[in-house]
Amino acid sequence: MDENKIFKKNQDVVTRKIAGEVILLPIYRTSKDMSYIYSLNKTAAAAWELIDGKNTLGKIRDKLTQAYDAGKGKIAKQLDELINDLKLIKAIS
Amino acid sequence: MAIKTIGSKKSNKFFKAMLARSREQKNPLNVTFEITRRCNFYCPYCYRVGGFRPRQELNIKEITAILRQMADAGVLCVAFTGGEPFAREDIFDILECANRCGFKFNLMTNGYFIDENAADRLKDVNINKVDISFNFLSPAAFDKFSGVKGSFVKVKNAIEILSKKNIPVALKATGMTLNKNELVALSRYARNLRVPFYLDAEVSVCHSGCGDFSRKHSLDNAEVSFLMKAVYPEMFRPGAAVMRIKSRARSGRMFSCAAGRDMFSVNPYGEMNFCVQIDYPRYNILAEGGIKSCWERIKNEINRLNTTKDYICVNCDIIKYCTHCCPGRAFAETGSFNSCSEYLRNMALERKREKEIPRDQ
Repeated sequence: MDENKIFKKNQDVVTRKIAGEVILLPIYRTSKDMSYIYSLNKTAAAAWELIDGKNTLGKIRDKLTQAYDAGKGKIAKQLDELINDLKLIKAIS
Repeated sequence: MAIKTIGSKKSNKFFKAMLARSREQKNPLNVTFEITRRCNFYCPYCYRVGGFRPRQELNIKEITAILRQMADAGVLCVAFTGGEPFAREDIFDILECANRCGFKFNLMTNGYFIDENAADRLKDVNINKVDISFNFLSPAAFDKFSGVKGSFVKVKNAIEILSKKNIPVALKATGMTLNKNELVALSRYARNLRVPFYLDAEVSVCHSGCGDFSRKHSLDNAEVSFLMKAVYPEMFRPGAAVMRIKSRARSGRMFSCAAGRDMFSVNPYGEMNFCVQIDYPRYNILAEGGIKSCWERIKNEINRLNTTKDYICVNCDIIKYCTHCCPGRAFAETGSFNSCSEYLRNMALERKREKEIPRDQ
């Protein structure tokens, strides 16, 4: 993980908090015949909130480690996977 | 997995779970937004023909404000309807705003104005589904009913354009004496196109009248039974899941539907109602505290009605033959929720004569 890397949210992906769940809705069609929506689990939702074009990945990792009282290594791995998934669905750049 | 992708296969389970949570938290999830009462058709079962008086409708700024408040309140699904939504010149501005607010939204339309260009624009705004009213397969009957010459060809083209462009479309028909001989053929047309077909077997009495049309052209119980079996044969095969409908008396609540639980409607004047069929209680969203405040009042009003003493259905002698769980019909006919709908009573009496106990018993 590049600790100094900074990501920002894609403006074409809308964040909604509905009935306690954080979901991402792209405003563009995600496939030929329908539009997917993406549901984030608790950790992913917390990380998503911290991706703001200012926080480095290192800072995000540290904040999550503090918030979830989990090992730095474990959080870093999960964060890495999440970033890859978010890039795949074009939610961040 | 930190991120779950919700596509068509998983979406039913996802939305069901979301609905259950919304109901638990008493938050609105679904809204029907009637954005205009103007229309280019003159269908005789509609309020436009039944003595409708036009009023000043919401402008785009007001609609945008309401949509943003809805998003803030946790609404996810919006159905835009009318009148005819395309009668508004700013329809695409409205849909674009809905898209940017993060709604999953459908459009209910007569389809007349949907050509290649409009279909492309609907795709651009990420429309979830287009529902088209399609009551006749015979061009002459269709044009006569709509009151617009050439409307059948335009609407049929719209259906085919939307299908070709992979925009989900569904056809909706109202069962009446005027089209009862075409409904099975209509359902087959939809199946051949691989689009859903929804048959509403009841000619509703809308909020400004048209009770006469309903009285003259509603199907009787035998006709409804026959048509349902012919249009949806898979629902009546042995072993098919039975749709359970709670009768009002057994549920103990006047309102056992989604109104005030996870759903409300908005009319073209910015008034919040129980649902689009009932123009009540008409809380003015922008003038009376906003969506959240009006939603609290809607819930309180539903709760108040649900504790009505001497609730008419409880001691009804033919309740076991009555399938309907919506007091909106009675309200539209008589102006009172705690009354009996003449139409529903007649249908129940027919079932009693035929000794046909509804499938939910």
